[in-house]
Amino acid sequence: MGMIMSVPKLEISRVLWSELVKRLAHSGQGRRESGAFLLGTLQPSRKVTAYILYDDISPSAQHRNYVFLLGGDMSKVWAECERQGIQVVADIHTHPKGPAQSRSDRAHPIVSIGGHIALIVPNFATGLVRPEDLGVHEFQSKGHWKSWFRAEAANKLHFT
Amino acid sequence: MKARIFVQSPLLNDISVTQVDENETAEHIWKECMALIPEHLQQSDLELFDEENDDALDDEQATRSESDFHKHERRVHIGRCHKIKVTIRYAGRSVDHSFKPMITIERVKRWAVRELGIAPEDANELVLQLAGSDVQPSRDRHVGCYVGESGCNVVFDLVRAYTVNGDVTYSPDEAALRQHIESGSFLSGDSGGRWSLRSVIWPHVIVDVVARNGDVYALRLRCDGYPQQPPTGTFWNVSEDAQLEACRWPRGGQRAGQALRTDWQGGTALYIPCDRMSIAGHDQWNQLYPAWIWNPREGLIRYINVVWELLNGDDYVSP
Repeated sequence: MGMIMSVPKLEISRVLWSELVKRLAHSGQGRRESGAFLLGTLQPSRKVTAYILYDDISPSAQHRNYVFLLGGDMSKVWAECERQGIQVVADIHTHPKGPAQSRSDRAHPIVSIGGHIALIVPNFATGLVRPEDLGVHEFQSKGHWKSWFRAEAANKLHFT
Repeated sequence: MKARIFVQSPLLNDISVTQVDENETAEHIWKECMALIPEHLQQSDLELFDEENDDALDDEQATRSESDFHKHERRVHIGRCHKIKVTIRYAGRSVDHSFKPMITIERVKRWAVRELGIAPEDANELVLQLAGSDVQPSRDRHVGCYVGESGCNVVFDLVRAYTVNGDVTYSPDEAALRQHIESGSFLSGDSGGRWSLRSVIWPHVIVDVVARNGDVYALRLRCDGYPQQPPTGTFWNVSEDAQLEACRWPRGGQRAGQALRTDWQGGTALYIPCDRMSIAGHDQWNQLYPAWIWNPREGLIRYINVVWELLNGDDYVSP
């Protein structure tokens, strides 16, 4: 029986990924959750070329131990997307423990368009973060999500 | 029989209302509506647009339920733009369309949601925010109210009113507090510059409350047992992480001064009816100050509002 090939959901360079994870860990200091908008292009593939940390657009984020964004925070990101001619292709945030979605994660997609990808990094992104440690969650519209973990999650990411 | 006419315009800060006899001529109604516009802004190129005449909205089926005209009510718009070019930005996508000026924000949002491929059930918490501002117009405002000084264009961002992500698990009292500080009434004070949340480090919450002259006081409240049990707390020196020195407390006249006394409980609690330490032994306050008594359903906003009122009364004095 042949192997079933998994089509990656998200593409990102190793250098950018490494920098992103380090900055998430630094933001959270092992004590609070941090996150970022992942920006890039949707065609021909969902590719991350830049990111904006929640801390950088929402100064009050540092005073909460969970992710909290106001409409004005998103507005800043939309303006930056327009300026650079790119889109929000995914988002990422950390959890204190595992990579599964919480109730608020499921209820509050960062982008409410089917196909949007949300990544969750466990352990506040501290220590070694391997692709198989992540949760990869795809918004499927009407409040539904599809999630992948462990090897399946790793297969959904394509590092270049 | 009188009919109420609700008037919106980019020349008015809010929805205005006037009353006219139902049998009045169109010319008279126009004059009455124009009279609501400040005199120095009344120009000859202004026109009146009636919400009832929105049948040219060809991009979606007009729903009477929204306009839902009461027999004795009309909703009109006064402006100079016959069409408004509306651009909606969302996560790097952008859609635009020309709308009549009296089309409501709710209808513009519905159109944008559909154009962007968002399921209606996923759009309930999305709102339109005027690009480059904190303004989130209410659903019944006319899109024509948001054109700039020149031109007939406007750009909105489609955003989630607020977003919570994370997996922190809380005790029931902390969860209840966090729910309240994410409520619309707390956030409206936050966005309105009356107060802002500084931190929640359980069981304490610190909120910066802004006084009449712009002075800011950090208020630190202990919230264990929330919301059944009222909070208790005092003004806080954040840099020293200690109770604010008495000489730096806000002052007041007869009313506020009593509530802001520094000698009560050694300054560890405010002398107000919604404070847990202060209500004890003051049962008469339940009758004397019902509006200042703790209300678990209203929650933290009650305490913050009382302090804000003290700091924004006529008798407030800087330390």
